[in-house]
Amino acid sequence: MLLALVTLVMSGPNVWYNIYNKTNDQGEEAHPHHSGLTAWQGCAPYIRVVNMLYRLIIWIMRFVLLSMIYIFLYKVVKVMHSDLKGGGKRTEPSAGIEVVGVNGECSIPVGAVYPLHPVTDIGRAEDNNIVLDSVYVSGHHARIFLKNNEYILKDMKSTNGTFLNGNRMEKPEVIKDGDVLNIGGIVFKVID
Amino acid sequence: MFTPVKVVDGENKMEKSRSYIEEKRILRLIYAITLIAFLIIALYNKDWGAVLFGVFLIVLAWYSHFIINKFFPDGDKYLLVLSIFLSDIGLIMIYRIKPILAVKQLTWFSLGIGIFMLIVILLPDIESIAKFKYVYMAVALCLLVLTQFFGSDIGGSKNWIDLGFTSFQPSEFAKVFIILYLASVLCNYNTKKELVIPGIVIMVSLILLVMQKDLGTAIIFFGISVAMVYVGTSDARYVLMSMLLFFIGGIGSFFAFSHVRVRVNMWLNPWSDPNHYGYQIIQSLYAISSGGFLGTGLCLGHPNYIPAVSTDLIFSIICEELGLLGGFAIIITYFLLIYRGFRTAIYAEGAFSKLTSVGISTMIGAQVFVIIGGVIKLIPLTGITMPFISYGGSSMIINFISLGILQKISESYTA
Repeated sequence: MLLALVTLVMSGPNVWYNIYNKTNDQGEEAHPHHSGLTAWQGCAPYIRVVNMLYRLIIWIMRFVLLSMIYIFLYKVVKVMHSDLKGGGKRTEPSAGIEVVGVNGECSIPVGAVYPLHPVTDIGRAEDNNIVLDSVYVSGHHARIFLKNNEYILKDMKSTNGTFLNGNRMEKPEVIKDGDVLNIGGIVFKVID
Repeated sequence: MFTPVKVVDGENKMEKSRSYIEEKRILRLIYAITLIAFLIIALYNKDWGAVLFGVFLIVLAWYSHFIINKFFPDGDKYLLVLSIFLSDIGLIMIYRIKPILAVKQLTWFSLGIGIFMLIVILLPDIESIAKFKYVYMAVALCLLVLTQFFGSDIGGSKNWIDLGFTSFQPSEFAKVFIILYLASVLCNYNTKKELVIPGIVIMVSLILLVMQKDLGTAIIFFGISVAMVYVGTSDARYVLMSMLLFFIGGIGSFFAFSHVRVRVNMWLNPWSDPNHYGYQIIQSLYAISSGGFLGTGLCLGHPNYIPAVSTDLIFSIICEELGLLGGFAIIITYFLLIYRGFRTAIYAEGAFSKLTSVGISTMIGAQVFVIIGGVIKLIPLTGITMPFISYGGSSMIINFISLGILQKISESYTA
C-alpha cells in the first residue's frame, strides 16, 4: 500500500509537469505548483475555458474548506457545551441483579430485581443504592461499577466478604450474565 | 418487576446512539475537510495520488475511531477526534509543501496511532505505575545527558541523536518522563523538603537543555514543572518563586550564552540581520501578512520562501494559505484539545492521574504557545515542533504516547 502510494506520488507530478512544459510557449521555467494553471495560456480557447472552470471550482472549494473547518469547530464546541451542562453522562448498557435466595433474617423478597447503575453501592447503610437490612451485611459491602461496557464487582472490605460463584473475592472482577453473587447471605443472580 | 428495567433499557439505548451519532457527524466533517483539501491539491498539481493519500487518511481515522469506540467506549473520544483533525491539517500542508515528506509523515502518523492503541490496551491501571519515580528520573536525565555526548547538530541545536537509519530527539521523550517523575513525586506531597530533589532535577535538565541550545524545550520543561508544582501543592508562592528564578536564569543565560543573545536580539529587531539570523522570522511574518484574512488559498502560497516550513514554521504557511481564519481555527482546536486534557484531570480520581494529565495538557499548551508565539514574533522564536501538525517522527510519536496516557486516564473515572 505504502509502496504504491510512493510510486504514485513520485510519478504523478513529473508526468504532468512534462506535458505542461510542452504546451508552455512563454519559455519561462514554470513553478512546479503553478505550472498546472499558468501553462495553459498559449493554448486553444476551449482549453482556456476549461482552465477558467477549473479555477472557479478550486476558488469555490477554497471557501467550502474554510467554512467546513468552522462547522467542525462549531459542532465540537456544541458537544462540549452540552457536556458541561449535562455533567458528562456516560453510556450504559442495562443489567440487573435478581434476588434468588435469602439466608437469615431479611425483609427482601426472593425474585426482586435491582437495576444496575454506572456505580451501584450495596450495603446496610442508608446511602447505598441497594440497601440490604441483614445483620451479616456490612455498611458499605460491595460496589458494582461500569467500565468499558463491563460490570465490575468490587468488595468494599466487608466483614463477611463478597462471594462470586462461590469464591471469596480478593480483587475486583468482571461479572457476566448468570453469575451468582453472595453478599452477606443474600444470593443474587446477574441478568444482562 | 421487569418493566422498570426495560424502560431504563430503552432510554439508555437512545442516549448512547445520540452521542455516537454526534461523534460520527463530526468525524464525517473531518473526512470531508481532508477530501476537499486533497482534491484541491490534486486539481492544482494534476497529481491524483493526493486523493488516494486523502482516502488513506480517512480510512486510518475511521479505523482508529472504530477500535476505540468498540472496545474502550468509556474514554474521552474527543481527544482522538481533535488530534486526528490536527494531524490531517498537518498532513495536508506537508503534502502541499513536499509530497515525499508527507508519505514519511503518514508512516509516523500511522505508527503514532498504533502506539496510542497499544498504550490504551496494554498500559495497566495508571495509578499502579506511580511508584517508579526513580526510573522516570533516571530515564529523563539519561536522555538529556545522552545528547550532550552523542548529539549531532541539526538546524542549529545539538539535540538530535543519529542512529544511522534514523535520527530522533531525546528531549521530546524526556518531556513525558519528566511529567511522570513529577507526578509520582508530587502525588503524595506533604512537606516542603520533598520538593528539593525535583527542584534540582528540573534545574539540571534546564541547564542541560540551554547548553544544547534547545531553548524552546527548556521553556516547555519550565512551564510543565511550574504548572504541576502548583497543582500538586496548591501554593502560589512556588509559582512566584520559580518565575523569579526564571527571570534571573533568563537574564543570566542572555549574558552567558551567545545563542540566547542572538534569539532575543532577533526578536527585538529581526531587521538588524535580515539575511542570516533574522531570515526565518522575517519570512514568516511576510508569509502571514500575505495571507490576509481569508488566505491565498491552498496551493497558492509560497512555502519555498519560508525556511523550515514543514517543521517549525508550518504555522506561517497555514496562515498564508488558509488565512487568519485558518490560523484561528488551529488555535481554537488546540484550545479544545487542552480543555479536554484538563477536563480529564478534573474528573480523574487519583492524585497521580490528575497530575499526569495536568502535565500532559500543559506540555501541549506550552508547546503551542512557544511555537506560535515565536512565529508571530510575540516571544523569541525557538525551534520546536507544533504538536500533531509539524513534520517529525519523535514529536508525532511522543504526542500520541501522551495522548494515549490521557485517554487511559479518562477511561478510569469510576474505578
